Amino acid sequence: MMTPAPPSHRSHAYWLLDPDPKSELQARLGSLYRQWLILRRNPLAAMGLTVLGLLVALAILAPLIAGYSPIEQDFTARLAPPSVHHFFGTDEFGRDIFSRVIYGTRITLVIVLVVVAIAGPLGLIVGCAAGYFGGLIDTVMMRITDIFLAFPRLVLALALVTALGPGIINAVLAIALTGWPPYARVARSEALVIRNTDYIKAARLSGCSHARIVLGHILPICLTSTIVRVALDMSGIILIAAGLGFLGLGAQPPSPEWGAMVASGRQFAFQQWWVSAMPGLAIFVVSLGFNLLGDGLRDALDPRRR
Amino acid sequence: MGITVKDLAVRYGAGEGVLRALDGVNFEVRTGECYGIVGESGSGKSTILRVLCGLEQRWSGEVMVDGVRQLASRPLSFFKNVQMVFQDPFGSLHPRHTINHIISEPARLQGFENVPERVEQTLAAVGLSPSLRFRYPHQLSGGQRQRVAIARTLVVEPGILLLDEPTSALDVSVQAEILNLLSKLRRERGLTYVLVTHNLAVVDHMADRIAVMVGGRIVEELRTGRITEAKDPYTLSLIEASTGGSQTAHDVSGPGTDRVGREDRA
Amino acid sequence: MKAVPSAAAEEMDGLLRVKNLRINFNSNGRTVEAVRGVSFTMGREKLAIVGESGSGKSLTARSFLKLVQPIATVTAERLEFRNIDILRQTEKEMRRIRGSRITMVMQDPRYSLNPVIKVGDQVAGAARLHQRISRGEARKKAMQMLNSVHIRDPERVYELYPHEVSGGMGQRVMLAIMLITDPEILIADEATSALDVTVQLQVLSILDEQVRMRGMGLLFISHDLNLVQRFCERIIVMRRGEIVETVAAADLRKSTHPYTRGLLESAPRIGGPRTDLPVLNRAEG
Repeated sequence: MMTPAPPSHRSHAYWLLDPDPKSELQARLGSLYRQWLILRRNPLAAMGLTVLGLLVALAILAPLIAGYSPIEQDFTARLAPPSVHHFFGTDEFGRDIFSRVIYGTRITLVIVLVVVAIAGPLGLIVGCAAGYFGGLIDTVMMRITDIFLAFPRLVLALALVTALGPGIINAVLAIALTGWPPYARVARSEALVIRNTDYIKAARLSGCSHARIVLGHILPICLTSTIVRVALDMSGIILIAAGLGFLGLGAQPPSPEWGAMVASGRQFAFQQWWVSAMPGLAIFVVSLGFNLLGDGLRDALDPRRR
Repeated sequence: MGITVKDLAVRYGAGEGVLRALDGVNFEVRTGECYGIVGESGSGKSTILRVLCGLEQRWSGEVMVDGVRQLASRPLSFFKNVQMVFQDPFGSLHPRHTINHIISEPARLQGFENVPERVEQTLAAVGLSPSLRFRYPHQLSGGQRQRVAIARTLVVEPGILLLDEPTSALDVSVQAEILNLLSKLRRERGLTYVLVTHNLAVVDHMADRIAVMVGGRIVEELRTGRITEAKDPYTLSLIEASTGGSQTAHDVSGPGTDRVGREDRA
Repeated sequence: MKAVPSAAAEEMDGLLRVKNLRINFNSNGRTVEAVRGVSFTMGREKLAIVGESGSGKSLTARSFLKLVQPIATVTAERLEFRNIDILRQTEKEMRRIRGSRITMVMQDPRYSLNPVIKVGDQVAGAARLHQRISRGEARKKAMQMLNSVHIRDPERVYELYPHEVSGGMGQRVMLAIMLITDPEILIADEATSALDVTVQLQVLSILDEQVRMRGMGLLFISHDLNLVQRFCERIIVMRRGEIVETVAAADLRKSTHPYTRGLLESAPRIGGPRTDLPVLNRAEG
């Protein structure tokens, strides 16, 4: 029978957990804080958050943590095995793999952020609008979604990159543009349910325009499941980016993109396994972390538990 | 003035499978009156409210509100005058909006100024403490939520309130508080109510006149206090059922069931 | 039937016995005491437990079927069905009691009936679950059962799916399912609350007939004081997890307990005065 100690009078937690907030801001932040507390308690989410936190920390602190420059070559230390000097060994150009993996977190982070920033909102709005309006708008939007969904994602990304040219930004754009349909579907199915609720009817009686209802009433509710879906998708996105890099269509050399690193290590796979294995391990860990985070988010944000 | 409804019909589907939710309904609500509509599920009582407030747009017949003939869709100004309180306090408030947002939005959209003061005044008028202003709906009890729903309608200063089973989802003791509140507000502000419920006792307590509905039609109109003078057999069976009736088991094929609910269709 | 005060009930065949029942929930680190020290005995009678939401009445009833764990912790000095200690029963042993010796009908047949199985087959299935009979025999029994809950056309209704029957019919089907095993106790948890008032009467009269015919005990959970006063023999009033009063139905209106009086008086009545309804004094706002 445990009750958590009430937060001390002056701490930020006290302000956030105030049962009678004094402003919209306090209410909003308090609500987010409570969700954060639930999230933190979930072991899966905690693990995922740790991985994510590590990713961000390494990306920011890369120059301090990596011992070497990621692009400086040293032919005297080609293909050296992991050692105290080179934690992950060196590649065929004598570059320190550990440093490259660390700097590669920046690229991974850019990929993650850009995809989320483009695909997330796009899918969310399309889905909410389609679900709310129904009829012709729904049909048209969903058929467009179907078209994008029908293509194998990697193939479509390949086609776009071939058209736009290789490079990290184009690769990311390709992934984002092919990645939004599932979010639209998820948002739409929720919007279909929500639009029949009394609070949406009340919104119409309050004089809300359709745009206000979609953006201010429906979207906030669909947001949760979309966030969960995005987090769960993230590992797939990272793998596709790595795949594109592997095919030479993503970040160009000497950029330390993990997929490209795995590709270049292929020729040494048996003798100098670390050249491919280390970046591969990084991809694995980050993907797993996002999967765990997605699972944890879904459990923590499930409205039935709140 | 008030509300006049003539020959109102709402039909879903066509041909053999047509469902007549409303089948030629006629009634009048005088300004300042509380008009009760009582019926069981499927009687069409809620459909009437949906037509009156513009949520149901496929109807035929004539609807006049305060002397103005209404079309299928309503302008913004209509909602300054006519508002609705929904049945389910757990479902009629947006789960992600604070109470403040919920009550402010209609006021802002109608172009009121001093919205924060209005919100505080309205909260006080429905008996809620101002400290609840920035809470979320799930942090309130059922009765408190229903008060917020009422506040949301009052903040635009309407003349007519449509009440769709406003207390059916509440505990009996909370119901008493809400009914008292509704009575008080009507007295103080001279509001006109159209109250829809399945509960005969509630409608007898609140309404000046009562319409009894079955199968999309009004079968009888009664003055409150004279309920026992009802003549229609359905009304009588409703009264009997509401006050207990006899407890002998009788067959589904009993004579009274033909017009009651969907028993006979199954 | 004469009202039976609780002391005498203890001497007679006490079907259900509970002493100091406590049910606690753990939500986000806080402990919520939903049922706090409830004790009573039930015999072969129609006993009602009445209360508002949050009173703990449903949980109390469900604890006899051991349906509350593991979501909550249930403790009691005594929780017995006949001479069976419920707290000590394993899941396997409870399965032999649930649905056959103690059964429960809940509020909404839409959620209690399996939507993809014909209603008749669900009744027959209940019989086969607890008795060794053939398909054909179960079907016959199911027909008989549908008949005895006053369904006029059992052959036709047997073949219907749950979404094709009305609320009242669905509750009759639920009753058929829950009575076909000839249980000793039926728990009705707001069984008529979702029904139209005229249908309610019909279902209640069927329930009454069945209970009398079979000599069962009926534990009737409701929020409607007026309803249980007309229908049951003894009434337990609960509030916030505790028993406030136990009274014979005939004596309900004479009760002097402030909470019970408050509940009785705050309900509007047909032909009653139109002044403000008396309101319960509440601890919180």
